[in-house]
Amino acid sequence: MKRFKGSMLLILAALFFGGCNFDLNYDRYAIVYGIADYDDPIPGYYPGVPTSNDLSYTDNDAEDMAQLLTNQGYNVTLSTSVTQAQLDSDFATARAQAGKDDLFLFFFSGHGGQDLQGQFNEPPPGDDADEFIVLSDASTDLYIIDNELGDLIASIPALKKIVIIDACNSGGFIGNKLEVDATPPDYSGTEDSSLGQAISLWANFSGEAYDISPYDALVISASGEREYSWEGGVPYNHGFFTYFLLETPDHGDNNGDGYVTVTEAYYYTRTNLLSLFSGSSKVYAPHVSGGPVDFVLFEAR
Amino acid sequence: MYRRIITLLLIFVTGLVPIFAGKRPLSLSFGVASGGALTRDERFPMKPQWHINLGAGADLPMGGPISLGLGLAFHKTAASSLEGGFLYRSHSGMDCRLYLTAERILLPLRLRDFRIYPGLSAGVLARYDKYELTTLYFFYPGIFLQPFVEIGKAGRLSLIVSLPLDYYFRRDLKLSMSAGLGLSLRWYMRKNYEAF
Repeated sequence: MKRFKGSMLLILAALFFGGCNFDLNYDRYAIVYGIADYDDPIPGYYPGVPTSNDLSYTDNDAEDMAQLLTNQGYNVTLSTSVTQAQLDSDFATARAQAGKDDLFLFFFSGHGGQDLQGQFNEPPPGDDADEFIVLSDASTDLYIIDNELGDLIASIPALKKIVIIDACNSGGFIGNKLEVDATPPDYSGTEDSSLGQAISLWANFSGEAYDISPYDALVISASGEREYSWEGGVPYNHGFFTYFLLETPDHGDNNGDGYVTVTEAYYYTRTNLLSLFSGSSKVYAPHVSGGPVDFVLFEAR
Repeated sequence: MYRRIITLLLIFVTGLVPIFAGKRPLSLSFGVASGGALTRDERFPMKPQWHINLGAGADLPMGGPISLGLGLAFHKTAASSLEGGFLYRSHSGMDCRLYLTAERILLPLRLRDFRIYPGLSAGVLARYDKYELTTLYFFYPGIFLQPFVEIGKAGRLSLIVSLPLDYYFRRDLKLSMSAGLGLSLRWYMRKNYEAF
């Protein structure tokens, strides 16, 4: 009886407090892109394009992210010069490799934008304008718009999928369906939630997909839909968002369970970015997907 | 938002007292409930989560054994385990309940000076929650059933032990429900009214 009671207590403890010790007994695949060298000028890039299109540290972002992921046991495909053909090929490989129980991660650091000229406008219930990331090769399809990336991500059979984008306007890749984000797309230091909007989203929920659905992948974006994402020199030498993201295995395990989840990584990068840009007109805030689940991103160090 | 709900609660209490005031007076209760929640997404297997509710309620007798109640609570649902590389997220927020209670239909059990009345509450609930560590808010309604026993002796105060069973209409989940054990103190508002 004593043994039975002990077993019951163990089961109950495992039910409610378990999970601190589990094996990452599934494969993890990552496509990591960081593009610093762009054609000048980027053809058709929307107004607001920097006079010099090259970025300074986005290739560092990708290289250090790839190193971190490799050390964490991910199978990594790294590129700092990406064409549409290579993107298609890398996704085809990932599609063939990543099984249902595996985890797939897509990381991008480079130029991003919001189409304010109506070239890629997305239909309701999407936001007003499509957002895009910019690839290297100006001679072919240059822009990967949010819905297009969403389709590519959805085609990967793995159920656990993570997308991390360090680019301007990257918040527009997040396609939340039921959640109201109190952090506005152009954050100025104030948050605002709305019960009425949350009720309306619940009542009108259709499951219809636009952007990257939280039921396809969890997205962390460096910036809001209407914000720039910045990079910085010494001592950062990275995109600021990626700089803090790279720190999360060391400092981002919020609950001390030995693992850093997507939400914990988001929280750590957001807290540090807001602190760094506090009082600055350049302030920008990372965003994260909604949905009821969260995935393990890193093992804590 | 919370101010609005509290204002509505006060209007409810002060406005309806004269209409429904009967033999038994309005009662207020304050308590805590805790237990396990079961959550299942369309893609991932079911996992348990621990939850806690901390709140207050007001019960207005409507005649006979039936009373109408309104409850307001803060609640938190903890994250599930990480087994399989995924977890169900932790969330917390406000929980508002409107319910009918049937009580004192049966004769009480007597235990020394104490009397024990069984009862049953059933109603609807609405929650406005935020995922922990995010700024993402969401809404969902639900229904609940709560068998309970009220234990007390002469006086205006009693103890309620309940078994709350909630079912939530989460549109992003295949299954979301919780069960637990609740303890609350009930205070009858009319002077010189002896509840037991």
